Amino acid sequence: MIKNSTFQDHHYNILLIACLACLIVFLPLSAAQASSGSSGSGHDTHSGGHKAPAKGHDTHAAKGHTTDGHATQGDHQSGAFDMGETVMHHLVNIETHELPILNKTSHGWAWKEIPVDGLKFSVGGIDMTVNKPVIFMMLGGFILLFVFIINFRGGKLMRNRLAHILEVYVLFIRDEVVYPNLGEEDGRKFLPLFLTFFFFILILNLSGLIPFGYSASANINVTAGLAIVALLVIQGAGIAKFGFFTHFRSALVPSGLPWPLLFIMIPIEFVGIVAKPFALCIRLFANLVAGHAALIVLLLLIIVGKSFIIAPFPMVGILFISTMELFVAHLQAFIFTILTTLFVSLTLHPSH
Amino acid sequence: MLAFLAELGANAYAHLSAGIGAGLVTIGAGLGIGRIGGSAMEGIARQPEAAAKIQTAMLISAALIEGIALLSAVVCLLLNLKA
Repeated sequence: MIKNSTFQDHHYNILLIACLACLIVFLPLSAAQASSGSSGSGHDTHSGGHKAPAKGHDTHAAKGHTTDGHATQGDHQSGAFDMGETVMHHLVNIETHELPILNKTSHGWAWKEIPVDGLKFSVGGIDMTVNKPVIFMMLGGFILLFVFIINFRGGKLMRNRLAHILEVYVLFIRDEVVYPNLGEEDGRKFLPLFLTFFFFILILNLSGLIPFGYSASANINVTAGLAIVALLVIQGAGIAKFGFFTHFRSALVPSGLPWPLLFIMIPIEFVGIVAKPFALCIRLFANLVAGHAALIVLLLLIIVGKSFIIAPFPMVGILFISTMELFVAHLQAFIFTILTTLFVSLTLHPSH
Repeated sequence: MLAFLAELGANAYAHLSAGIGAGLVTIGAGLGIGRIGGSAMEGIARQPEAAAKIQTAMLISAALIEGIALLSAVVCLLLNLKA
């Protein structure tokens, strides 16, 4: 562990230059990958998504050579490069993953693409295949465990850079999110859960921003799982505090209403109970997907433009959107945590 | 114009609706988040010492609106890509 921090300002400059260099080198290559397609992965389930753009690119190249670029109309007629298909493939592909290894395909250089859903099994008819989101969730979980275990040994915080960053996050969640909403007594019980929510979602979001990473929270099943945990916690907190019947009476039946209205109000309140976690799930998922879709569309502009001359302009856009994604990754983790905290607080302190 | 769209094929309506929907989503979310941001600015200007609390409340409200807006945006995206 680093005891004395000697991280000077000029190191940040070097880091920034290195990041920019990575960006400039890697991103056009990944854009080229988007059009060139993969070979030999042996997966036919996604071939409709992946092979079609590759074929289209081929036909375009052939036509461009033969007719000197006069074939643009014909290209659109035969669906040469299907941008929507490529974007959808990149957003929903959970079967293969790109590695930072270049190999030569029939369409040119491309990143090596390996299948990652090798461990197929199902429990009681439910598909439990270990695929890309699962692998990245496990990775994120292990990284979190590792980071926290090495930095909080023997109940004491280590004195290094990483531990100080973690301390800032933890104190922020404790003092700005959990304690003001739940109070110190209840907050202390729920704090580990909310910290886990925050750090897990944060690391899932951030892992999509590193090169060759993948954001597991851009998959709706992952966010749905998190939201189901939130639903169980919100309702379980009420059940644990008030008991089953008292909790659901106060949650479902508003007091002081004439009884015929209850036929309307009870379904509405029930929908409200389910809608809160549903909104949590959709919000996290849609924010991540929207960011990734914006990045991919900007990258594909290079291919649609059919020229490397326009490449710098999407690059600048991607730089800005990536920076915004860095903010969104933190913001969405924070929003998920604070909304769950607020919902638990509403359950624990009913207004009537 | 509808006859023109009909010539393009049945999917043209889906693409049209996706575009119009995306525009409507933008209008709604822009109005909502703009109002929140404006009010938060005003509140912070009147009471700078409460800036931290106002910002937190602002982010939460903005996230609630954004959630609905993004849900609709995803619907539009699916309409456009899957139609």
